[in-house]
Amino acid sequence: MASKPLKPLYWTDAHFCGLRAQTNVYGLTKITSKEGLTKLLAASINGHFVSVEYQKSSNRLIPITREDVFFSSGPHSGPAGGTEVFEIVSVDVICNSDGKERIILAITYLLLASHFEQKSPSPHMNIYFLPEKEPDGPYLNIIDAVPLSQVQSLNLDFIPFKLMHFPIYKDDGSKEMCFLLGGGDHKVHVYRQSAESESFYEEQEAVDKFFPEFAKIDGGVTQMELMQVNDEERLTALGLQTGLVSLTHVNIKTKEILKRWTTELDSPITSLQLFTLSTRAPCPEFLDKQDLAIPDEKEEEPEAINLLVTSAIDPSVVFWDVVCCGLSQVHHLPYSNSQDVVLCSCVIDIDFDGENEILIGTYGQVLLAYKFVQYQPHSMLMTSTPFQSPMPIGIKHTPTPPSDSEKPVRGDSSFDQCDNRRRHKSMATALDSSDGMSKLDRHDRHKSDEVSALLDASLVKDHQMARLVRSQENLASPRSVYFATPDHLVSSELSLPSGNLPELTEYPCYRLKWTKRFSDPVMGLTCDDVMGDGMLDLVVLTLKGLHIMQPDLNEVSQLVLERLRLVVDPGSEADDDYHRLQTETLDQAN
Amino acid sequence: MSFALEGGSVKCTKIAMGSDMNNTIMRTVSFVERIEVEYHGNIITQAMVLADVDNDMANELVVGNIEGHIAIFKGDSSKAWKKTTVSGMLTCLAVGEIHTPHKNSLVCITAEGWCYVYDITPQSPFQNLSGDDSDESRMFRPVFTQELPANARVMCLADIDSDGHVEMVIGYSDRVVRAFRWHVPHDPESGHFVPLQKWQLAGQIGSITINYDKEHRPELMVSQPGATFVSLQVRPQFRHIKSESHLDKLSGSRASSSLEHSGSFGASAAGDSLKASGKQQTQGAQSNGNKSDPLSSKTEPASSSGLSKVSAKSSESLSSANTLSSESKSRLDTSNQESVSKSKSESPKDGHNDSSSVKVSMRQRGDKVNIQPHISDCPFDSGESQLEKSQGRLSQFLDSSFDEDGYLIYHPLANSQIRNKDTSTVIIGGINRGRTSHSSTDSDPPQSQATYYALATLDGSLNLVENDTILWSLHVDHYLFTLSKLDVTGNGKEEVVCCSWSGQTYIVNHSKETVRYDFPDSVAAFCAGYYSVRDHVNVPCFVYATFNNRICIYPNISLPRVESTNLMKVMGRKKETKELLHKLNVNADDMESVQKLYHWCLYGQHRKS
Repeated sequence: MASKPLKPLYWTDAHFCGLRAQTNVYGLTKITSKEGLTKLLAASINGHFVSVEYQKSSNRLIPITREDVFFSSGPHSGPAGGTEVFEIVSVDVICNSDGKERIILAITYLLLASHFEQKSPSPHMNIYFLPEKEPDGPYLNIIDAVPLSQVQSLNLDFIPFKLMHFPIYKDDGSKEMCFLLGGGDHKVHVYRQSAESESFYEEQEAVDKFFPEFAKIDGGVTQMELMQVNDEERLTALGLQTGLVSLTHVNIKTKEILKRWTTELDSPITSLQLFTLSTRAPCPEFLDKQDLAIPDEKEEEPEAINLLVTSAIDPSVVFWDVVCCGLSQVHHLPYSNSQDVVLCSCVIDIDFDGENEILIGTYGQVLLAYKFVQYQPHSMLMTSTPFQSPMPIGIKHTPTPPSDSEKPVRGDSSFDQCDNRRRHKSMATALDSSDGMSKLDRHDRHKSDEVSALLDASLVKDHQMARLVRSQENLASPRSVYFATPDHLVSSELSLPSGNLPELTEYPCYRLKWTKRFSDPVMGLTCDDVMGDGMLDLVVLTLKGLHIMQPDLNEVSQLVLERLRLVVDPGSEADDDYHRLQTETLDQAN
Repeated sequence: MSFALEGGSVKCTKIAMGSDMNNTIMRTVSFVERIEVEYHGNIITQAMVLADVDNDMANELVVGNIEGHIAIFKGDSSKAWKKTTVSGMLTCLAVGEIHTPHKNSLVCITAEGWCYVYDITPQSPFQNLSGDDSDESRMFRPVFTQELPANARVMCLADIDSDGHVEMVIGYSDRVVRAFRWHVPHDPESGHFVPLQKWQLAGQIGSITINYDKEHRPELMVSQPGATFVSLQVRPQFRHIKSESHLDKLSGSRASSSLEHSGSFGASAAGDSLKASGKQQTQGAQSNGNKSDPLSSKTEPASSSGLSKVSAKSSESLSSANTLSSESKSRLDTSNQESVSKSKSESPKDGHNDSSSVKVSMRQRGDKVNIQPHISDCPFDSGESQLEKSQGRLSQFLDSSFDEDGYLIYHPLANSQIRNKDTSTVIIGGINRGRTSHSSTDSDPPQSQATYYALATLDGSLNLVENDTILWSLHVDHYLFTLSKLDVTGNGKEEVVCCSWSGQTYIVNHSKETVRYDFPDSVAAFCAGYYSVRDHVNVPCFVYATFNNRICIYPNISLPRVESTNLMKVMGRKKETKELLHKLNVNADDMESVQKLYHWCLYGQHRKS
């Protein structure tokens, strides 16, 4: 839990690498090596792969970016050996950490009709068994290792979608990693590795044996998310092309379905996340042993598990505490459908207060970050500023009611309108005034009068806040993203059609906390410690490139120091500021 | 399998040594926010400037193209705020306090030699930025026009002689650099540019810049092919003439002698072209005066033609003019042009000088009575080439007497031997080093640091130099054609920003850490600087002019830091970290434990306060 209210942190590019062709929503995967290093692998649909990893060299941290086209060199000039036209669908990597390190890369792709008679694309899956790293052998980058690996090619008789891996628990208690592949044939296919030949085979019975929840599915499986609740139970969420979401509570041991919930949205499910609200990180053992002021780890009472569902055009929803309440407790993410199709999501604590935020990537080139707010906040900060103004203005005190003092400002319509035209229409500004809203209304199909009244009321409340934010906000100007868009188009394009508005006055709820623009649609989101510093980095895959993002490290380091100080000396908090001043003077003296 | 592994390792090394090495390990960022404006025509890099042209404390973007259209962009409007058209091919644009102290003016030079000075009035509060006011109100007109020598290529407005006045230094495609100063003889209406000094260079001029030495004295630097540069020595006399009235008196009362001198320019230029002489003979010609020069008559027709040209012009552009002085000046111009053309025909001789250090001294007439604004003539005398260490010679020069003036100092940088000697080079000087680094002694006050300068070549090498010592050298696989400096991180140290034709932009800090941005288009012109998008706040930005009629302004390019770094490194730089880690019995070198600790700090359960 946070020791102090935290300033929002601003995440900026730590590294970026471009892709030569566009990618898709299944194009990002990560590889975690035995040493705990995380590498990222992104694939464009034409077979161009990019890998990024960080290496430490002579006290410098170097991002190693490698790119190659796996299929066009070596013995396999095409994925199937020929020069076919193909399109990569999904990528996944299994890193076996038990005993020897073995990396297995699986790629599903469609061979497009290159021959006359072959009308429909023929789907395939290639599985690459990357060579093991020899103890004293040279370090092999994954890009170099793939051409040297053994390949297993499988013909698929269905259109592949999401490819992922999940362990199955065999009756003898051992774990076995297998590939799960969502198919357009209304099935989830399970690929198991044979013990003798190491190759993978599809096992129909595995569905009955290990995944009873995959038994009856009524649509193409675009997304799936599995989570081990405890040793005996598992939650499985499946998202279908039809917009159907099913959540199954399964007992692993007895292989029986404890409970099943379904709900239906109007558009294909684009992502699912099972998560808990608070972040959990175990206290390192070396601290446990010492007599330090470490807060007692609370009895690991299982925390409520929530399910985030994003679909293409509906607002994203979070189902709260699904184990207890099923899909009954709903929280909407406001404005989540305002920036074109939602393509991906990620759960990460971006402000280090111990609570996870929800990040959503949209085709509208925007990343939206939502924070769960328990109570009506004194001030709500929304800004798209990544770095330009690291110190956002917050209203520390009570929210200013729409007072008379505000009216002259708003009444000055000529100025305001001119201002409207010039200002940057980002999330914050679009919320800024009712002038903006009237513009939005025109483009809003669903909006009812009550909702608009409700929104207006809340906007008035937030009015002053938004105004302040606007002055701080950076230049996410429409033209900066939409090339040569005429002004009238811009206003509609960036506006916030308020499809299914949540009741903003009801707390707790999710509130939009931070937005960031990208130069291309956001296709994939994940987080991992790519840099090896204990902090999770945000990985954003856009249509044309891969971003690794970092918050302002100076602020994070301040925060870590503060918390370390508390651990070392619990009584130090009173003269905390004094201490900081002291260190600052020390730093300056250097 | 083992065989295959070997193959892999071979491939590894090959790639590591290959040309894409830099891109493989270089940090890259992507900038998103941008303002696109439409602007047609080919833009030369020198004709794109970010500066406060209307003196409202907010910077604008001024662009000129080779058709002579000038446009000023302000704020985030995609339409030009103001525009105008000059006749001729616009090659240089600059903004500076050229004719009114503390007031910026826009100076435009066309290839034909016409110099236009504009005073832009700030936007009135009633004027709508993107509004629909007529084109008429968007036009602006020059306040002053003057014909200067043709073929201007690069320009730099700076106080080159520390006299508190901004001089205009123009580099020409005929390898000449001339310095001009705004001069107001009597009547404030009759101000005009008077030539100060002229330097003849051996190689094509890439760019002109100003660098500052330890005492903050300006040094005028001109880049030369092959990653070398020449520093131009400003005549000491002009450092000493501070008073305008003195100048006035001289140019006014000595008008006739100035005429004579204009003759003598041609004469001594001709003498130069004869080139039979050494220093002695030139001196002799000078001391004897013009009349004794047999060639002075030769220049007469040119001078008189110049006279007629200027009187026509002065009636047109200057309401009341000190005709005599402008006439004499124009004569100077004309005769000077002649001398240029002559020396041009002569110049190939000095094109390739293999001596490691060549200093060319330029003799000036040492007649102190006749000190006045004029184009100094610079006989290019190879006989005087001295194989001396340029630095040694520099100190000698500084100590030497008055009449030893007008020098070029050639700086062959240490590793210039390995490079193509003809590759075109650009230079940027005055790169701010920020606070005194801890390596230097504490006794140095921060202001006594010489600024860095950087050179970039078209074949892809980038060097940061301090006082002829290359601090680092970076080689990339792209054609680097333009060079800027900008404090991207906001730490007071200016980074070197270099852009290639293909759009690769390298931001390099003083310790050679590099971050790259790939602009997704071919670049016709690039500049880095400060621009105000709104609220009169100048933010660092990059401006790219493309070949398809668009200019992209990236107003949000600030980065927290140039190098790749992680939390561990940032924490490691703090003193307190070590103490705290020590108290926690965590070995600071044990990366894994520290990593776990930080992870727990950020995401673990913490005491509520």
